[in-house]
Amino acid sequence: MRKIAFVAFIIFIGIAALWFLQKKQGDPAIGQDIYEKGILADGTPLTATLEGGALLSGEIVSCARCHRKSGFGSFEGNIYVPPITSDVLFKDEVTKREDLMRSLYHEEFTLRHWAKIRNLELRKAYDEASIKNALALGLNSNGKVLDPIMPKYDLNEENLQHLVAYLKTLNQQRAAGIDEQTVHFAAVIAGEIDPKKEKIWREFITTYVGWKNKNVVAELRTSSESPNYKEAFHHTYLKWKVHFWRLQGAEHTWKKQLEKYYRSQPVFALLSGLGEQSWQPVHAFAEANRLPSLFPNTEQPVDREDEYAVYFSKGMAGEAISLAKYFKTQHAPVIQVYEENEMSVVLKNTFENELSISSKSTQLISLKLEEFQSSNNEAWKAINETEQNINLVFWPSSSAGQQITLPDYLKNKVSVFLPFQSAKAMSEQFADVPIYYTFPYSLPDEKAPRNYRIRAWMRSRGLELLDEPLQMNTYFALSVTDFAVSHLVGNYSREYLIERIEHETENNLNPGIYPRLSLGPGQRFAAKGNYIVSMAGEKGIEVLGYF
Amino acid sequence: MKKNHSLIILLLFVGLAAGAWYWTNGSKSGHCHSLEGMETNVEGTQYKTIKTNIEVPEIELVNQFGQKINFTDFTDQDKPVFLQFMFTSCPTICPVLSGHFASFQDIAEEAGTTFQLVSVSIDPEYDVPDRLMSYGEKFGAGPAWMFLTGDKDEIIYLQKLFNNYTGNKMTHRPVTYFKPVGNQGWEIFEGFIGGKELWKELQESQEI
Repeated sequence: MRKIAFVAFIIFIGIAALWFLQKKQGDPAIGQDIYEKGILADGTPLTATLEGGALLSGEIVSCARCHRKSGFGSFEGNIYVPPITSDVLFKDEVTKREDLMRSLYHEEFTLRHWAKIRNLELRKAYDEASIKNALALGLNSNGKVLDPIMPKYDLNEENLQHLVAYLKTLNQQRAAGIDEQTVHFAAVIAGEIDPKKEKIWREFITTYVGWKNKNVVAELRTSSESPNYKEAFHHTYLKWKVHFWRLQGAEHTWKKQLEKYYRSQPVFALLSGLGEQSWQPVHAFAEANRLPSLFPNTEQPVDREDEYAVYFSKGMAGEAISLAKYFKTQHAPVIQVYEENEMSVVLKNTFENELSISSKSTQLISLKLEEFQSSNNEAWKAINETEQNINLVFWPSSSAGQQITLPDYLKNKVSVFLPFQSAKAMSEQFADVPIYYTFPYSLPDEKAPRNYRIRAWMRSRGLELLDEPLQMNTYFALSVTDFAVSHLVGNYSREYLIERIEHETENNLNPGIYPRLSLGPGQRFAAKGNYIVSMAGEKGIEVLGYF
Repeated sequence: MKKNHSLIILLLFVGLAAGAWYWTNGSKSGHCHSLEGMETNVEGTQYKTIKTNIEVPEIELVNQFGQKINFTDFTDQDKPVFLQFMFTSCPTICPVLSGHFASFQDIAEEAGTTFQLVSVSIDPEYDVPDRLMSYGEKFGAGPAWMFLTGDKDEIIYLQKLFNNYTGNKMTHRPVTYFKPVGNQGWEIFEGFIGGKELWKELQESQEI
């Protein structure tokens, strides 16, 4: 009996000790909330004081705001924010040419930064105590003052332990999809595609990758002869392999198909992509597997800024938003006509939602197609009675458009607004009525210098210009990813890849299909608006503005 | 013939030298008119002061409430105006700049002084009024702090006027502009000027 009691006591002590140790070590999940959102263990916001006295709290002073989600830091103007990933923070500082390169090739620096580079004092590895000093007092692990832009944090023992526990996990694992010599990407073909279009797209990707890999081989062959220390970067030159993943059948089966592909060949990211149906299943798969999905050719992206899916534009939802923004600048009432179809309803809701944001003046009536078409309906009567011009917006369920018959007596009372995809198909039905439509692309007189360079590149690779938007956009996806991957300098973190993509997209690589392409931290749609233009026969295109 | 050659070489050399001078000096002045003087404050704070005249045009912008605002409404009024360029998704520089505005706001409100803070987004297509509003809330922005967005080209024009355009929002510099009451000129504080220093600058401008 006493023996049993003794064993029970020992077990109890053991559990208590484990519990205590567990608590002492901190919970990385809570640490992640502190790091990314600025939320402490008890749910209150993290607070910090800036040099100069301002007291701020929450996300704005979270670690991720400057050191970024990846922990690899950032460059902004003349400010260099150093990496704090576990392999850097918890090790003695070493100088590696390829790391120094990261901080040297970039932009301008403060005098303080140059002074630091020239009077290099390598700091010791951080531990919990020195991290505490860095956060509370702004001192590094050698006791030297950190750049004063680093805020001073008010963090108690418990929260500090959670944060340290999380910092220890930052960039611990090399991402899947990278092997000794190759980066693997997947290019997704989502559903039924015009075979001619698919052929053009595939050929374009295969040609780019072949050209890229040839350059990698050449660089590797000559790097030991280079006077510019290229050998130090030897390990960062990897070839690319793009796997084409075809999704077939019903959309709800795509998730399983993607998972199967991913199991048999892990990839670092989803690159480009082609689809005429909703991109939602691919988007969800990418987010669930923390897999960057970079610039697919789709008109139906997910209209939400998540972490890993990056798009050219919001597609048709973006057109609905732009139209609503335009109507907010007008006073005329709006009637929108939609169908009982998923896409049509989404567009109708997006439009309605945007119109309600900070605007109360625009009157909106939403009608189903049948309601609008039943002659003698209330809407038509209302239009006829009002003095004002009425704006009619149609959200067809497919690019084939809707069959509309507008009574003659309304023709001088309305203006018709159409989404770009169905503008051509539908415009013929509205003779004698002013027709406007959204235009997501560059206007004919807008030229991007890079477009000419890409055409020259295509000629030299023997590629014909067969589908300019598809080919130019695919070039953009490939080249931005190419720059971003090379700027990782061997640090294959997917979060870091996304951050580099955000940065590279700012660098004038626009091939001119969209008027402007830009991203920033957390931004996931590179083209931010649409032109609204009129279909004025004689005058050509008349532009109402960019919204 | 030989003389002709050396003359051409001389002219070429003079041209090159002038070009080099313009490249190093001339191009920097950009759109800022009449550089009046420069002083550097080295006592702990990290900013330097440049005085300049900037003729601000009538540009229509939109504030965080979605209202149309004429830019000169701010600059011509009888209050000291402080201006910064920022964007809401900016990682490091803007939160610090705005943080300094926030601490200036606290000091000035407590002293009962009237003032105008203006934060102009250099990412106007993304920074719609709603985004500016929630960014402002993070800093406790009060009624005297306006956030502005608008047409991209108009804002680029404004940035160029203030000699603060780099073509890429990620390479922007930390700068604060100050227009004292009754003064046509602007003072430019390059670097991070804290709330207390802004208050000190305001006091000094009123003593004269």
